[in-house]
Amino acid sequence: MMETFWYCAVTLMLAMYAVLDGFDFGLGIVYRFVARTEADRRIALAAIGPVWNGNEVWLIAAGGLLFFAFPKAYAAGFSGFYLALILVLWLLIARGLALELRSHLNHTLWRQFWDAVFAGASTLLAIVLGAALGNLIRGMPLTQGGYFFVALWTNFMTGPDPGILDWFTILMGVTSVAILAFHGANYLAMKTEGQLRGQARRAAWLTGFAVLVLVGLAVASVPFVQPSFHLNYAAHPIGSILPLIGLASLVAALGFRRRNGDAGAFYATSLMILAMLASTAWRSYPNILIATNDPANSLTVTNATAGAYGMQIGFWGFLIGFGLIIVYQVIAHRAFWGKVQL
Amino acid sequence: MLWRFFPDYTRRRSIACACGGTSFVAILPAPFPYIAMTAGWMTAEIGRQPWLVYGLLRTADGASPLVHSGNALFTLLGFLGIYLTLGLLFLFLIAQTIRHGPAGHSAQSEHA
Repeated sequence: MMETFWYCAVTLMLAMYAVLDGFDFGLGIVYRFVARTEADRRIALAAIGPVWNGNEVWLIAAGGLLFFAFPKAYAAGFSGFYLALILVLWLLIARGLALELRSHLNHTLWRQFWDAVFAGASTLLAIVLGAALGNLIRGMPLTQGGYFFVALWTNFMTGPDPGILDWFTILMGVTSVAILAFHGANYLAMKTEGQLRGQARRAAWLTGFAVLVLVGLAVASVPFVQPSFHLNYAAHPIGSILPLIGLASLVAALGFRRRNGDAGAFYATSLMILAMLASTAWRSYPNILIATNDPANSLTVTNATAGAYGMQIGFWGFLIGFGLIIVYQVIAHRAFWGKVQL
Repeated sequence: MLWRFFPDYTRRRSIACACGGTSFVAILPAPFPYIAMTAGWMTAEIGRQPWLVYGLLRTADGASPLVHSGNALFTLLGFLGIYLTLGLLFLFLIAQTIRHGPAGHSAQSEHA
């Protein structure tokens, strides 16, 4: 019971991270195309300026919770994806540097350089994090001791000796770029006015249709990559409500987009990301890391767990901590509510 | 050499306390926080060896069993490169800030 609670808690933290840091990654992806002038770029950056830093901490919090509740899965995942996670770290560093250093020098070349770093790092992060989700769905060759190591790529197939990048995880990476670009463009449209808003709306409209196509492809290929993913549906058909909420939110987002309902479209893409990740986690349960070689080697909520005592104590700590974070986030976002004022 | 970074305020400002001698003494302690922080961190990390978690887990037992040394070397070099670049950027930007002079004296053009 406690294990299931912590599985949901880690999923919730990761999903919140994807929604919150997702919109500032997405803004980074469309940034160079929609904000053409220096004035527009400063407005676009000011739209995420007060919040991107706090959004990033959700990833740290999710990692901390995973370490706390499922230390074996944490140890296996962080050493198995060693190269990919170091890459994520470097990209996060580069992206933070770009946001912080850009304004320090008033020189065109300096600013264009950091703009390129910001946009490039945001796009690559969306690809890597999408590919990471693809890896969790596809599974990895776990040893009996509960460890694995995957190279960045092997033969790009999802077979028994996969790399971090194969055709499926690349598809997931590209899908994630489209989803976050759509999400970020909706956010930018909601936070701005005039010409910049017009450009953001155009970007949202284009990426919205890309999302429709790519999500369709990704969802259709899951049964070929991870056959065990239909088991939970077969046992509990009620779970299909999660992907249906995801689909309904995508349709709603495109509907709001058509009528230029910027805020509505942003909330719809937020719900879509939450529902899609929840549905993936629900289909994977009780597995955290799925073994491609022998199902007995999979790390599940029961064999990767920390002690029952710690989980019980942590339950109250989590509820209090999570409540405080939510209060803080609400205050931070309310302080900068509405259109960006420079 | 160090003086190049510090435009002499004395000539442009007529405030008595900003005279050469005292302001030079005031900038001397600048490196000490960096030394103190680095030394404190190294004391904690090196002093704990050979333990990763004191008394519970040895560093040798805490290493990832399947991450090859080549991968670790690659990421170590990567971090060295990043921090070298960061250090140079830091010195460059600090020098820029110092050339601008104190706030209100030659006001910074913009900050966004």
